[in-house]
Amino acid sequence: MKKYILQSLIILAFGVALGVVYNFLSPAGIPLFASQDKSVAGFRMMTTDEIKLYIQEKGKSILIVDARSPEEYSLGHIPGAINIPDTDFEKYFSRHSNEIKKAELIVVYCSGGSCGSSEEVALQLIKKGISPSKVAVDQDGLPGWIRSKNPIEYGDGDKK
Amino acid sequence: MKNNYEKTLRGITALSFIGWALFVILTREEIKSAIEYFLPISLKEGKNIFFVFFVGLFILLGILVFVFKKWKVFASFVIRIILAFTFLLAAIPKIVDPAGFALDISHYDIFPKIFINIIAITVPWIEMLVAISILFYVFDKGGILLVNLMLLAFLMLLGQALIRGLDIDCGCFGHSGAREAVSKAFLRDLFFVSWSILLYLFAKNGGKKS
Repeated sequence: MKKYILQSLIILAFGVALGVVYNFLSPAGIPLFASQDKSVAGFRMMTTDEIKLYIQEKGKSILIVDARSPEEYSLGHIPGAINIPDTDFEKYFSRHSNEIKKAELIVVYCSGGSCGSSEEVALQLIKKGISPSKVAVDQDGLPGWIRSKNPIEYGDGDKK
Repeated sequence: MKNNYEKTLRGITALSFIGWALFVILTREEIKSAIEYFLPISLKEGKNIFFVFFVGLFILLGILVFVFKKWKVFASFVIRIILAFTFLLAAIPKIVDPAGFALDISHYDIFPKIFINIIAITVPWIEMLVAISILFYVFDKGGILLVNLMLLAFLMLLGQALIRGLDIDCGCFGHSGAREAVSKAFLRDLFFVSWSILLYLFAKNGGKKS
């Protein structure tokens, strides 16, 4: 048994060392430890109040992205938000690439804290070369926006 | 007594291969999509042929365990190949996309945030080394112990997600890899755990030489 443990410790040590070195050298590398105000993938997490404050600040260009399906989007979304569903990212990304590149901050939301689509779209945006510091996820989602009695826009205005 | 133990071990080994073939049939849609994901574009049309071949192969392996005199050497070889290739297929997409894997780990909602990235960075490399170890008999004993420990850890992780009813992607084969529900991944891992335990038992009894 001693041999089993010793050999497994050697494999573990090599694995950890290789992982850390590769992560340091790789362009896709991530921080070893995620900071508390950011997600593990590097994008920011924002509350509804923080987003509202950001929108109110002048001179800052914020792009709000609805990561739900086009059907859900047309039933009601945050005013001015564009639709980039996580299931059809490539198509919608190329449609909105100019707005995305110009934006100072891109906030992605979906149906709430654990919906996952917003994180997925945020991750895809980072993979497309958008700086993680420019990407944020609305942790309260649309339910948080509605709870704070904010206006809602209807229709699929996104499909121009 | 030893004879009975050998017979039982042989029976379990053969049944695990045939059971896996049945499991593959039950989860045919997921398996076909996984086959499609890993196949080059030119071969995608033939995914059904690959599926039938896959099922037939495991039934045949189960029968061969009963037929071969040196069944332990044969079964040990097959299990090493299956586990090693599975670990390699699982490791590579995670190494390429650590951010996606970190996100998948975070969805399990069990690890403290501070540790998630370091897990995402190191676990795929450990998986890769374990695969090499059991495939090429390099630090073989360590590889066998780790394959058991890792599969048991994955099983517990999937089990707790299943009990808590988490509707998440397993992330077993990377973030954008072959997607799989937690329940099916749990069942699949049960087979893998049984194979890794068998591998340990074969190694303990000198399976390579017998």
